[in-house]
Amino acid sequence: MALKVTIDNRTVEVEPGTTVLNAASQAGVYIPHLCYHRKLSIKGSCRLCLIEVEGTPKLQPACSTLVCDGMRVKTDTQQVKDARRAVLELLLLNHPLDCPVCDAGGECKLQDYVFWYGRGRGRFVFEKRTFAREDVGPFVSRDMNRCIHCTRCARFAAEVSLAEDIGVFERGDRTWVGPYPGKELRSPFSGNVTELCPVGALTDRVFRFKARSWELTDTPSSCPLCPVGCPTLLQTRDGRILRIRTREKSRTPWICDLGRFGFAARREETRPTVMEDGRQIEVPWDVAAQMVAGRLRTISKESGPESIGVVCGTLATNEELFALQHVFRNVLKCGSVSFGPRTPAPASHEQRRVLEDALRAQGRAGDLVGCDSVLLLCADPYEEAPVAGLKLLQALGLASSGAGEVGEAVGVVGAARDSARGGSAVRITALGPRRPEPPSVQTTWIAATPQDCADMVKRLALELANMCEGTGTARTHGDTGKAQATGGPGTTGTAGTLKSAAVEGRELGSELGFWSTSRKLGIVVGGELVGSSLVYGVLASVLRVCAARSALGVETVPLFLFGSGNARGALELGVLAGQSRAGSGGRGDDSGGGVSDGAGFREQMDAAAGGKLRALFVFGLDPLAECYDRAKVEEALKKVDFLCVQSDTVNETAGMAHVYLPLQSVFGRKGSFVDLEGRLTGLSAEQSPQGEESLLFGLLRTVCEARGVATELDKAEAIFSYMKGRYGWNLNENLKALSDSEGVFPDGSDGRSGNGQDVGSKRVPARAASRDARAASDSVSWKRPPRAWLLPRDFEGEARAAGRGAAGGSAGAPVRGAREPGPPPQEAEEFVLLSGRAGVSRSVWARDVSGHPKIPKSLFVEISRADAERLEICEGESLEVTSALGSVRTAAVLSESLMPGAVFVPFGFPGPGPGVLAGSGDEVTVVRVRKVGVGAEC
Amino acid sequence: MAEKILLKNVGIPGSERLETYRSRGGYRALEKALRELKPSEVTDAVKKSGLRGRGGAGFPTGLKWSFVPKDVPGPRYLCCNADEGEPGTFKDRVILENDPHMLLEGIAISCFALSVVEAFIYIRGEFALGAERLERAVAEAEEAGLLGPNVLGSDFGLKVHVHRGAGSYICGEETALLESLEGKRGLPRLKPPFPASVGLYGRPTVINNVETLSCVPSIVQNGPEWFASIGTKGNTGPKLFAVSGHVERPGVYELPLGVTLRELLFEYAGGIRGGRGLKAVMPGGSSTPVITAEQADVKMDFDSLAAVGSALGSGAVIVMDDATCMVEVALGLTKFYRHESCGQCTPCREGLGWMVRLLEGIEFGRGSTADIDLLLEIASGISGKTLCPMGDAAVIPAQSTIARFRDEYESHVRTGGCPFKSAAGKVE
Ligand SMILES: Cc1cc2nc3c(=O)[nH]c(=O)nc-3n(C[C@H](O)[C@H](O)[C@H](O)COP(=O)(O)O)c2cc1C
Ligand code: SF4
Ligand code: SF4
Ligand code: FES
Repeated sequence: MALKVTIDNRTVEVEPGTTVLNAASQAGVYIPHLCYHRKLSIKGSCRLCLIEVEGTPKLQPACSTLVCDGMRVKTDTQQVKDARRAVLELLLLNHPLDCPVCDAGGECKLQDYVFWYGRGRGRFVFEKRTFAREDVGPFVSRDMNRCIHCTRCARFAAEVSLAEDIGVFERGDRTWVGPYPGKELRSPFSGNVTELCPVGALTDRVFRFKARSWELTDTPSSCPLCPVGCPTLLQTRDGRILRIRTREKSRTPWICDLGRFGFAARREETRPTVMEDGRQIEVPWDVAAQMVAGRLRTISKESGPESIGVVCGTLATNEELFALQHVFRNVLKCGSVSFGPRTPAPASHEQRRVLEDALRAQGRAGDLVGCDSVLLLCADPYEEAPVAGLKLLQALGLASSGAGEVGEAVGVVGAARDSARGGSAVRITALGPRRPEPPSVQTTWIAATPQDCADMVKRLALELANMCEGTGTARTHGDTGKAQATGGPGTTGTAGTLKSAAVEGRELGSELGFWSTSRKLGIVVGGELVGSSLVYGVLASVLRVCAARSALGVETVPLFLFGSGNARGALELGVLAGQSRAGSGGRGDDSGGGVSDGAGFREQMDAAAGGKLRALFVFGLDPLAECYDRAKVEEALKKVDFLCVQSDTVNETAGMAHVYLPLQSVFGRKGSFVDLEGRLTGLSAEQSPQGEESLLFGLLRTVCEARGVATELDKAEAIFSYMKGRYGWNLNENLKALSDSEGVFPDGSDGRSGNGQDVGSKRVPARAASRDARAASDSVSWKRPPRAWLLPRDFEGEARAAGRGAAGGSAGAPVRGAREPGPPPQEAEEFVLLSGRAGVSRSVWARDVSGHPKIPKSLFVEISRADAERLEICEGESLEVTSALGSVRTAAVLSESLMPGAVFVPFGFPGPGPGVLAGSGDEVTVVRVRKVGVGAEC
Repeated sequence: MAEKILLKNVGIPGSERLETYRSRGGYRALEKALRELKPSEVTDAVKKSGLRGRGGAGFPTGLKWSFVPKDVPGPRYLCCNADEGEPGTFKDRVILENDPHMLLEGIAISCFALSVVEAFIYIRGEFALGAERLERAVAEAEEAGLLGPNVLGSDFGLKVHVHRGAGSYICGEETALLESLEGKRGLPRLKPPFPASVGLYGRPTVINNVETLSCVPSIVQNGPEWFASIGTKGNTGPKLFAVSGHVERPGVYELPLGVTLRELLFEYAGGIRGGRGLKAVMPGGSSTPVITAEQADVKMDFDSLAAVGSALGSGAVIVMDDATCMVEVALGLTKFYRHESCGQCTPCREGLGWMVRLLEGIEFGRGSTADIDLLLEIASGISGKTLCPMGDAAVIPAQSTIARFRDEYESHVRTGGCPFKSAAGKVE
C-alpha cells in the first residue's frame, strides 16, 4: 500500500517505511543532512534535517521520521530555516576557517550548507577548541578540529567493516573521534572513511594536496585488482588518475583499500628494449615488434608451433585474452596458453568438466542469506576479496546493510542498533591456516593446512555420499572420516606433515555430521585454494557435497573466490582449458616435442627445460616472482631461445627478455573483465602517452601481418563487439556503456534472482564462452555440461570413485621438503610453509603507496605470535627460512591470525620469494626457520 | 503527614535487612499478588491508583506498562532507574540505602505484572553504599526464595541484576541507560521506537524510577483506592521531596502530592536559612524553571506546577534566598549540563559551551545586553531541537532566570560585575 505525503505542496506516493528525507528526495525537495548516510544506521544526531510536520509542534528530523499517510511536511518555513541556521552556526563555532588549505574544500558538505543555508557571519568570539593533526593509519589522516561529530566513521567501523578501529571518545563538547587505543585504521576498508567524512576531518593521505576536487574529471569504471570487480569512479586530472572513489548510488557503496589506493603503485615503462650481447638496449617500438614477429615465425617454422608458449597474467582483459588466444591458437596454431604461473591447467577431460561445473554452480555472496551454517575453506574473504567478504557478512546478518537507498523503504529506524552482530544465528566454521577477519563470536576456527582442507572436504563429500546410499547411517561420522582420512592420498602420515589435531580427531567428525545435514550451507573456497594444484580435487569435492545435499533436500551455496584479477574471465574464455591433449593430436607428436594445448605453466617450464619449448611470450606478469620452484623456472627461462616479455614494469623476468615491450598499467587499458559472480564489467582507461588501446593489440597485429593474416581485432571495442556476437551475449552495451553500468550479466538478466542451486543459463555469463575454445582453436568443442552434479546418478559414481581414492586432485604428492629424520639443529625449528598472495591490508599493491612504516615494503615471513614468543622472535627480526630447495632471508611479521606450526611467505614481492622454497603448491613443504643476526630489538 | 509509606522504615536500625523489612510487613504485597491476583489485575490496580512516574516526566505508570506488547514472544525486561543524577535530587538514595527490600518487592510485583523474568537496577556509580546494600538485599531475597527461580514457591521466577553506572548524568535518561546497560556508550537513542517495543537488547522494556516502583507494594497491599485517596485528583499518592539549598533543615520529606510549597518549606524544612527572604525555587530539580517567592502557595504536584510554568520534575526542591545571584545559578547549572551532555547532537554539544562562556562573561563583568539576547537565541536553537530531552532541560536555568530575573542580568552588565559579591568575592 502506498502512502501519500505532501512535501512543500508536492505530493508523492511512497512505500510504507520510507523516511521523510527519502520521500522528499522523491518529490524533488532537497533537505540538507549530515549524519544520515544511506548505507549506515540512522543516527538522527546532527539535527540539520529538521522539518515541520503539520500537526506536530516540534520540528522533526527528516532522516528518521517515517512517512504516514496524508502527512504534510514543510521544509521552507521560517522555523525550519532558523533551525538550520542555528545548527550550522553551532557546527561552525569550533570549526576552523581553514577552507582555503583544507583538502575537502570544494567537496565539503559543511561548506556547501553554510553557503546555502547559513548566516553570513559568526557570532562566536571565544577561543576554539583545537587538537593536533594525526595520521591515524597508512591511508588516513585526521584533523579533529574539522570534525563535526556526525559519527559516520565510527558507525562504519562498528556496523559495516566490523573493524572497530575508529570510535568516539569522551563526551559533550570534548568528544573526539579516533582510533581505539593501540589500534590504527588498518582494516582493508580504512579508506572508506575518507569518503564518508562529510568534512575535511578524515582525509586521504594518498590524494592529500594533489589537486582540488573541482579540477577532477569523473569517469565510471570497475576495479580490476580483485575478482569482486567493484564499480568505481576514476577521478583524473589531465587524464591521469589521482583518486579512486565509489560511485554515488552504487550497488557497492564501499571499496577496499586495494581498489582505492592500488592505482598509486602503478609504474610504467615506455621504452621497448632488445637484448644485444647480454645488454638490453632501447629500440623503437616497430623494431621490437617486428623482431618478435620474425622470431616467432622462424621458431615455428623450425620446430613447429608447439615450440611456442604463452603465459598470461591475471590482469589481462577479456579482449586481450581473446586476442591472445585468437592469434596464438588460431593463427600461429600453438595452443599452449597458460594463465598465471601457479594455476594448474586441467589435465583431463574430467578436470575440465569439474571446472566448468564449478563456474556454473558459483553462487553469490547475497545467496548466503538465510544460511544456518557456513564453511570457509582456506578462505579469508574479508582480506582476499574484501567487498565480497563484506557482502557475505551482510548476507549472514553479521554486518548491517544500512538505512536504505533514497526512495527505498527502511526497516525499523535505527534497527541496526540492536547490534548487527547479535542478530544472526549462523554458525561459521573456518578451516584453514588463518583465522578469518574480522573475528566474530559465530566463527569457529579450526587450524588446518590447505592440504588438510582439501582432505576434509573430500571426507565430507564421502560422508554425504554414504548418507545418500543409506550406508552412512550405520557408521559414526568420526569413523567414516577417519577411514577416509587414512586412506586419503597425500595428506596424512607423511613425514613432516603438520596435521592439526582437530582435523584428525573426533571433533571434526561431529562437524562433518552437522555440515551434512544443516538446512542451508554456504561453502566458501578461498582464492589460494582455487589457484593451487589442489583446485580440481577441491572443486570436485565441493560439487559432490552440493549434489548430495541437494539429493538430501538441503540447500548449498558454493562460492569460489577465484584468484585475482580477471581469473574468472580467463576461465570463462577458455584460456586454461584450451584444447585437450588428445585433441592436439598428430601434429604435436609429429614435431616430436613442444607443449600441447592446454598445458599449464609447469608443463611449459618442463618443456622449456627439455629444449622442447623454444619461444615464450610472457604477458603482463613476472613469473619469477610468482612461480613455484623458482630455480627451475629461472633455468628454463634462460634456456628458451626467445623470451619476449610485455609488461607494465621492467620486472625480473623482463630483465632476462630478448625483447621487452612496454604495456600500459591495467588502469591505462580499456577493456572488460568478468567478476566473481559472472558479470561483465567495463574498465575505463586513464590517458597515457601510449593511448588507451592495449599495446598488446599492436604487437599482435604485427605478428599477424608477418603471417600475411589481416586482423580487424586490434581495438578493444571491436573485439568486445565481436565476442558479443560470437557468444550471443544478450546486451546492448558497448564497452563504454559497460563501464558506465555497474556490470552486466551477459545473458541480459538483472542477476538479482538466483540461488546456489540454479545452474540454469541465468547467471552463467560467458556461457557460450566455452565455445571460445572452439572459436579460438577450432578444436574440440565443449558440450554444455549436463547438470551432472545435481543428479544423484552421477555423484554416486563419483562418490564411489572417491571412496577408492581415485578422485580429487591431490593424489599421492611427494613431500619435497621431507628430510632424513634426525634431531633438528637447535636453533632451527620446523614449520609448514604456506604461500600465496598477501591479504589486502598487507597488500603488496599498497606497499609503495602509503610510505607507512608498518606496511611491509619487501618480502616478509609471517609467523604466529605463539611460535614467535616461544622462539623469542620479535617483529622485524631477520629470519632465515630454509627448505630442501633453497633459502630466503627476510623480516619476521608476527601474526595473531596465522596457525602455529606454519609460516607464511607471500608471493608478489619482487625478487626471491616462496618460489625459492616450494616446488609446487600441492605438496607440503617443510621449512626450518632460524634467527639470523641482527634485526629489531626484542 | 501522619502516615509514612515510602519512608516508614527509614530510621529503624537495620532497616536495610530482610528480617527487619519482613518483620514490618514486608513482602506481604508480593505474596498477595502472587497468590491472589492475575498479572493483569496488578496492572489494573496500578492504573487505578493514578500513580505517575517519579523520575521526572510524571507519566502514568500503568499506562506505560500497557504499552508493552502482549503477544511478542521472547524475553522482555524491566529496568529500574536508580541513576539519580539530577542536581538537587537525593530521594532515591534514601530508599536504596535504607529500604532496598521495598524496592525489590516493588520490582518483583511489577515484573509479575509484566511477565518479566529478568530485571536490572541501574544504580548511580557514586552510590557505593546503596549498591552494596542493594546487592546484599538481592542475595538475601534470593536465599529466602523471594527472588530467584520460584518466587515464594510459585512458578514465577525473577532474576534481578544490579548494575553500577560509571558517572554520567545522561545515563539516567532511559534510552542512554539501556545503551549503557548493553555495554555501549551511554547515548540516548532516537525515539521512536520506544523502549516499550524496542528496548534493552532490542526487547520490549519498561523503565521506571526507584520511587515509582517503591509505590507498587503499598498499592497492591492497600488497594488502588487507598493510594488514590492520597494527594489531589490526577496527582495521587505520597511523594518524596528532596529539599536543598537555603533552608534550615534540608532533607527528604514524604508528603502527599499537592502539599503547598510554602507548607513544605516553612513547616517541614524549617524556613529560610538565617531568617533571610525567599527569592526563588526550582521546584523539581535543576531541569525545572525557577519560580519566585510570590508563587510559594503553589501546590507541589504535576499539574499545579505546570500551570505556573514550571514542573514537579523529580521533586527536588532547590531553595534560593534573597542573597543568591541568579546569573551565578544559571552559570553553575549550565556548566553542569555542558559537562554532562553526551555530545551526540549538535545543539546540545556545541550550544551549551557557548552559553557557559556568555554567562561567565556576564557574571564576571564582561557581558553586554546583546549577550543576554544572544543567550536566549541560542537557548531557543537548542530547546526542542535536540535528540533527547536533555537539551530542553539544559537551557532551562538560563532561560528561566532571564525570564524572571532579567533585571539582575542587566545590572551585571551595567555595573560590570556581580552585585551580590563584595570585592573579596564573598556573598554580601
Ligand atoms: C537527562 C535526563 C536525565 C534523567 N535522569 C534520571 C534519573 O537519574 N533517574 C530517573 O529516575 N529518571 C531520570 N530521567 C527520566 C527517565 O528518562 C525516565 O523518564 C524515567 O526513568 C522513567 O521513570 P518513571 O516513569 O518511573 O518516572 C532522566 C531524563 C533525562 C532526559
Ligand atoms: S571524523 Fe568526519 S566522519 Fe568522523 S565524526 Fe568527524 S566529521 Fe564525522
Ligand atoms: S540533547 Fe544533549 S544529551 Fe541529549 S542526545 Fe543531544 S547531545 Fe546528547
Ligand atoms: S541528517 Fe537527520 S539528524 Fe543528521
